[in-house]
Order: sequence, then C-alpha cells, then structure tokens
Amino acid sequence: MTDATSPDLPLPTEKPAPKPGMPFVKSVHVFNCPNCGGQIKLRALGATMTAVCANCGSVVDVADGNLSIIQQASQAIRETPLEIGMRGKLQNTVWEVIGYTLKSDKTGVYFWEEYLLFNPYQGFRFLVQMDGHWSFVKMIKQEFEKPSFNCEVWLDKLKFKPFLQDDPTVQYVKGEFYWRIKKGDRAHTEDYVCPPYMLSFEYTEGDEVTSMCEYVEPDVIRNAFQPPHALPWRKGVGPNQPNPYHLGWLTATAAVAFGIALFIHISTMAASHPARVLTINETHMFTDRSRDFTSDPFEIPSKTNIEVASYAPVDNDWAEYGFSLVKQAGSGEDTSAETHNMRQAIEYWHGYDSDGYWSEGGQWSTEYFSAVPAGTYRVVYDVDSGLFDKGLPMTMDVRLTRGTTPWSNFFITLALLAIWPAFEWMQRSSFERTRWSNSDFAPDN
Amino acid sequence: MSLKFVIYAAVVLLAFAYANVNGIVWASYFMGQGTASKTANHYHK
Amino acid sequence: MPITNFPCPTCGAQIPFRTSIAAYAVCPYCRTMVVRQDEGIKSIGTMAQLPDDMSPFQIGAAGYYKGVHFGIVGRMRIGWQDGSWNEWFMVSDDMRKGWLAEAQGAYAPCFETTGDLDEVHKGAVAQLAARLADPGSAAGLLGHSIGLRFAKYKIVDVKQAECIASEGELPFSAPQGRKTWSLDLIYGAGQFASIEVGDDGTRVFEGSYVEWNDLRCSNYRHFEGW
Repeated sequence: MTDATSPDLPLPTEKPAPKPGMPFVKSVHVFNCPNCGGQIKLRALGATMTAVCANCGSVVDVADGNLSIIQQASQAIRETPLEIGMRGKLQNTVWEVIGYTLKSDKTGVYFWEEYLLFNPYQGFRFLVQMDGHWSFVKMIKQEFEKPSFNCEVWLDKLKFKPFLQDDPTVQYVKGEFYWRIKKGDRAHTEDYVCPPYMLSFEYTEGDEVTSMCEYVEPDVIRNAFQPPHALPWRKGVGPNQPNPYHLGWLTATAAVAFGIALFIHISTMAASHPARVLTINETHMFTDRSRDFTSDPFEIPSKTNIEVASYAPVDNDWAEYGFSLVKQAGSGEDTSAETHNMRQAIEYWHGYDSDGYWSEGGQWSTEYFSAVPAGTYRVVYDVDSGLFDKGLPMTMDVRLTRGTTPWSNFFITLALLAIWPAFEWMQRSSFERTRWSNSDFAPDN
Repeated sequence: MSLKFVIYAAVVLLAFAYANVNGIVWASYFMGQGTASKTANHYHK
Repeated sequence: MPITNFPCPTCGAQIPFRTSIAAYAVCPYCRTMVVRQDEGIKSIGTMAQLPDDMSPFQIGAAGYYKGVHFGIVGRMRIGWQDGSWNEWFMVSDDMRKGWLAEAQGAYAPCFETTGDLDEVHKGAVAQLAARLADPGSAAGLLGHSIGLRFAKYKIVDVKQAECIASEGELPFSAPQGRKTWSLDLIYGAGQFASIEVGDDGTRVFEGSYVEWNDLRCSNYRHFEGW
C-alpha cells in the first residue's frame, strides 16, 4: 500500500479468496451493563441501537457511547424456543439469532414471537413464530400503491389478499436490535396473504416498513437451529401456510381420465352389435296371476348383457313383471344351475292437487341382466297388474336385447373418478375456511 | 399423492373397460337385479 | 492507476491517494485530514476515530455494480438522531464517483446525477432544498414524489445527518460535524435515490438496492466465526 508503483485501482477482479492468514475481525463486542455491570454482548456492532442485558434485563441504548438505560430491569429473563446466539442455515445462508421480541395483538389475547437474525454480509432477517407456524421475513424496498386495507395488493404477479390489521404491542425483549425498542412499544400493521407469502406493512411514527414473509415448515427451523427443546406445537392453520391439498394436477388428471372413460364408452358402443333376442307381446287376464310362462329358447353367442325394456299400458295404476333367465342344461360352457332374476315394477300415477298437476313414475322400465354367459336360454316370466283387480286385461310389451352399452357404467366410472378430487376439494376448502376464520375478511371466492 | 390418484384412475378405467367388454352392468349389482344367482326361481314374490 | 503517496504533514507516514478523483484524505495513522493541492498536501484538521462496526466493507474492497467494477477508497460514518450508517466512497472503472450506502444490512450503491438533471428536475430539487431551510417542514416531505432523471421517486426518509468520522479518500472535505439533510427516495422495486442538502450545495444520487451476493465483493472483511 505504501509502494508508489503498486497498481491498486482497478482492484483485482478475481473471485474473493480469503487469503490464508488474513486477519479476522472480532465479531462479538462486549461492554458492561450500566445497571448491573454484567457483560452485554453485541453481535451487530455499528447497526445495533438497543441491547438488553442478559443478566438484569435492562434495555440499554448503545447508539452512542453514553449507554443510557431506556428501561430499567423490569422483566425476568425468559427462555425462548430459539436462544440468542443460536445459528442456523436458512435459504443457503447462516443466520445468528441476535434479538427476540414477544408481541401481542391489541386485545392482548394473541401472542407471537419475532426473532431478529443477523449475518454480517447478508444483513438482517426475521423469524416470526405464532401457534407453531414460522415465517422467514425479509424487509423489501418497494414502492406500493396501497389505497386502503380492504383492497388487494399485487406484487410480482402475485395477488395478496388483505388478511388482518392490528396494533401490536411489544411485551418482552431480549438481545439486540438495530432500532430503538422497549417493552410497551406499539405499531400498526396490515397483513396481506398469498400463501406461502405474506406481505406485511408496519407503521410506526414517521416510519413505514414493508416485509415479505415466507412460510417455513417447523421441521426446517428445527433442523436449521437444532434447539435443545421442542418447538411450539403447530396449531390451526397459519395465515400464509400453504394449502397441502392441491387440486390443479388432480383436476387435470381427472379430466384426462374422464376423456379416456368417454373414449372407452364410445369404443364399446361402436364395437357392439346389439341384437333383439326376444319380444313378448301378450295380453293377460287376472287369471294369469301366479302363473309362470316360458318363452321360446334363444341363443347368447358370447358373454354379454341383456337389456330388458318393458312397457305396461298403466294409467294411474301399476304392473309388475318377473323374469328369470334360465339356461338350458348342457348349453354353453357353464352347466351350473345359475339363473338371472329380475323384477320390474311399472307404476304411473298422475292427477291434480292444490299445487296443480302432478305425475309420478311412468309406463317404461329398462333394466339389465348382467354378464350373461354364452348358451341357450329361456325366460320364465310372470305378470301382475292393478288392472287385473278391476277385471281388465293388460298387454305386456317386453323386448330383450343383447350386446347393448348401458350409460350407467360410464356414469359410475365418472363418479368413481370424481370421488377422489371431490374429497381433496373438501379438505382444501376446509383448510382455507380455517385460515380465513382468523382473518378480518372472509374471502370473496 | 399425485401418483396414487393416477394408479387409482387407471384401476377404475381398467375395471370400466373390463365391465364393458364382458357385459357387466354395475348398476344391476347395486339394485340386486338381473345378476347371476344360484337360487332357482328366486324371482317369485 | 498507480497509487500516489504523500507524506503526512503531521506524522510523516505515507498517505496513499488511489484515485485522482479524491481531493481529500485522512491519514490512516494519525487521522490528520489533508487536502491535495498542486504542490502537495496540506493539513486541514484532525478526524475523530471511527467507531468499530461489523461492516463487511473496508478501504481497498472492490465489487461490481451493474456489471461495472468499482473499488472502495473512502468512508464517512453518518449519524442521525436514531442511529448511524456508512457511506462508502467508491470509484468505478469508468471513473465515475459514487457512494455505497450501507444501513442496517441494506446496500445501495448510487452515483451522482446532479449534473445530469434537466432544468425542470433541477428546479424541483432546488425547491425541495429550499423547503428544508425550515426544519419544521422536513417531516411533511415524507411520502411526496419528485421526478428525477428517469422516474418519479417517493420520499421515504428525511434525516438530519452529521458526519461522525471519516477515513480514506473523499471527494470533499468531510469534517466531523458536517451537517446535511439526507433524503432517501425509492421508486418501483428497489430503485433508490438520495438527495443530500448541505451548506455547500445540493447533490442528487441515483442507484438501487442490491444484495450482498450481487456485489460480488473481493477483499472484504472476514469476521471471527463467520
């Protein structure tokens, strides 16, 4: 430096490599408490304005050399989940806890902790803990157009919704701070959330601080700082806690699955060859009650379903058909004595009452025999009707068709596919309701 | 979680395709109608 | 650029001048403040001892701002009613002089743009400076907007600042107790400007807030345990 020929500007542009033997600068500075004489350690000398004696709890102004006492020892030293001097790595930087503030809301019911973090190169950050929810906080230098609290705020294409405004009070302090602080200090805050972020505006006399808070999982804090004691148990939902129930990919996957289901249904329909296997068109009298009729045999060439489309000419009356699909012995592969049974009730009622015209039921009923194996079959059937009570005859009209493609399977498939996203959606909504129940505002969507 | 749902959806779709190919009508089982039964002539009231 | 050394008029030690931009310097050994003149240097007083701090910067440190390399050659420690901060005097490779403001772990390099303002903006700044003649009106300036070279900035801080101590080379005489009004302004996301109103005139600086990693510093201070 004293050699007149050494070229020193521009300075070397190489990466900073700490030279071996480079002198290290003392990082902790100690002075004596003006109240009790105990040692007060300063870890952010130069920036620190206020320090709290760890022995007597006095709040000391260290901005100038005079060390005036701001607040006499009025508070017992408390243990906190993270202690002053603890270090932890968050967002790729090692931070040291140098200050602790316990704050309460204006009602004095809710309490939260604010830890001041320091790194001599990166500056200051905060950790905020309430009900076991942690946020990593960085002050941001950003100009905002903020008309009033009930409006949304946009930042970096993120929409922040107003969440809470409060007038917090400092209840307890320890460690050191780069501003003047004492127990009883008040401020006004306005918080806006866009999980995992929260935008926080703090107003004190003549000063306005904007902070960006990012939710941190308690495990991350625990692993970073390795505190000797358990961290506070997480309760409820944090204002900026990310919703663990995601719908985006679920609905996308479900939509694709819906499409595949529709494709399967249409393919089945296109590949199927529906064929009438039996038509029953007979008039019956009350004397046919309790009688069984047997149809002509018909062939089912391969395993299929059989649609039973029935009609009964009932008007303010009822009819009931019973069908039994009986396989002829020795036909097809399966010789077991299985039958497929079905009862169809057809009722059609209508009339006028004080509300006007009403109707119930109808004259048609369609049901299916499911998975009928190949073979030769007959249908054994019976018929009953309200018309018989009146001594009237009734014409039953039944058509059996094999190889149809019922829509019901498709809709059951859709329902099965929708159950999962629906359940996720309910949990997600419930999570959001819990979050917003702590807010000044109910969300509009 | 996302993989679980993909597997679930795949199983549902396979079941759907299988049912369609084999003429299985799920609704019949829900209503207890038209399905195979060992009991002969069970249809009587 | 070679360092030019001058013997200190008080203690005889070598006082290095790293840049021709600086006219003033403080002897690193006896803290005599000197001014460079044609024939040599002359003592103009004694500077107070700089209070120790945890600043990562030091004289001789270097870094980058918007891709341009700069070196730190001097510092003023500025105090105000509620604290203090550092103004590091820096000279960039393209020979512009600037200040790296370091307050509460936030870094804002800025360069003087007083001469680049057009007449309208100069007038606005002059009006602002005039209002500060009445200290009572200073607080009222908070939140006001003022147009500078490229944008309209918002005044976010108005402080009465005083030089506590200085070291190294400086572009002007910064004796202990030099009082100025210091205004901080922001625009958009992290754009920073500062207006300094002193007895010796009004200066405008424009720059932006940056992170430590953005500065890509070399020859900075290393702290025990960090």
